[in-house]
Amino acid sequence: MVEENENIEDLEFTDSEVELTPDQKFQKDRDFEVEFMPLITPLYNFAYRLTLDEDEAKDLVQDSYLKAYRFFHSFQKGTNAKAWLFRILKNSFINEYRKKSKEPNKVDYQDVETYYNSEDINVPITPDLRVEAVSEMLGDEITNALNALDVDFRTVIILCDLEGFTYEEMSKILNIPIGTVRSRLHRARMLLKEKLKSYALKMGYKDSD
Amino acid sequence: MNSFFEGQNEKPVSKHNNDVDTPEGKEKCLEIINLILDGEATVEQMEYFNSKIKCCEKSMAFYDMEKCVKDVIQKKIDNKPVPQDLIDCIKSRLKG
Repeated sequence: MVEENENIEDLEFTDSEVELTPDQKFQKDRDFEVEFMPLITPLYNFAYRLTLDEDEAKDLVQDSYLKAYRFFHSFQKGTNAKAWLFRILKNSFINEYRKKSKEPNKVDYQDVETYYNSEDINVPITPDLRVEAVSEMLGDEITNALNALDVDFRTVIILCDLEGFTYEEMSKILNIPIGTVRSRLHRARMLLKEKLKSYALKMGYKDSD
Repeated sequence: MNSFFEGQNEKPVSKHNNDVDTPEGKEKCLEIINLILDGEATVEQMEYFNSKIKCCEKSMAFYDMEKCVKDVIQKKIDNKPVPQDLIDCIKSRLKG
């Protein structure tokens, strides 16, 4: 759970910590390393899957660790360190990296969500995709389909299916209501299946019809 | 949006909602299936799944597909190894 640390969302990253004695700093460094360094693999992979760029992912992870260290005093031991760190990284991504995104035609996420949530939507709900076709796909094909999704949709699938966060944890990490987590995830999976269907057709599989 | 997503804890589940031949029924069915697969379904939604979805061949085909997609994401997408220079750089900057 990350409730206890949700103020990280609003933190302005200014120095607020009192100077530590050498013993206190030693203890802090040790606690930080034990708590957060084992999380570097999922954090780096989350960063890479957001940015799709190794250098940007490295910068993002480094920034996130430095912020986490600086604000370690606001982290409560025993709470969900992974969710706390992911939230910091997600905020850094939005605030610093996404602004300079190279994507020229970014999807207006709100428009997409409004469209998919509208009552009179009249599009195929599920592509006619065969289980056999999906299960035989290579990892690269699954990865490409996921990476082809808009980053907001990609993110919820990563957090839920790859990282195993609960809806409540995702709600805290993304700073959105749980209902939005559920609906965004649902739409993301619909879109992913459409991408997978395209790959399946390219591979020569036929529709289930 | 008339959906299980909203007020899922308050709204009773209709016994006639599992008409998967309509777009609305199909969407509702998929919503429940996703909640089940994500371990986020309420008791009521689990009951609906057990009584209405499990015994419907079409619905279970959707279940198989949703489960398959979730499985391939979990099993076939590999983690990239963390570059050693990143680990070294972070440790060095934290010490400094």
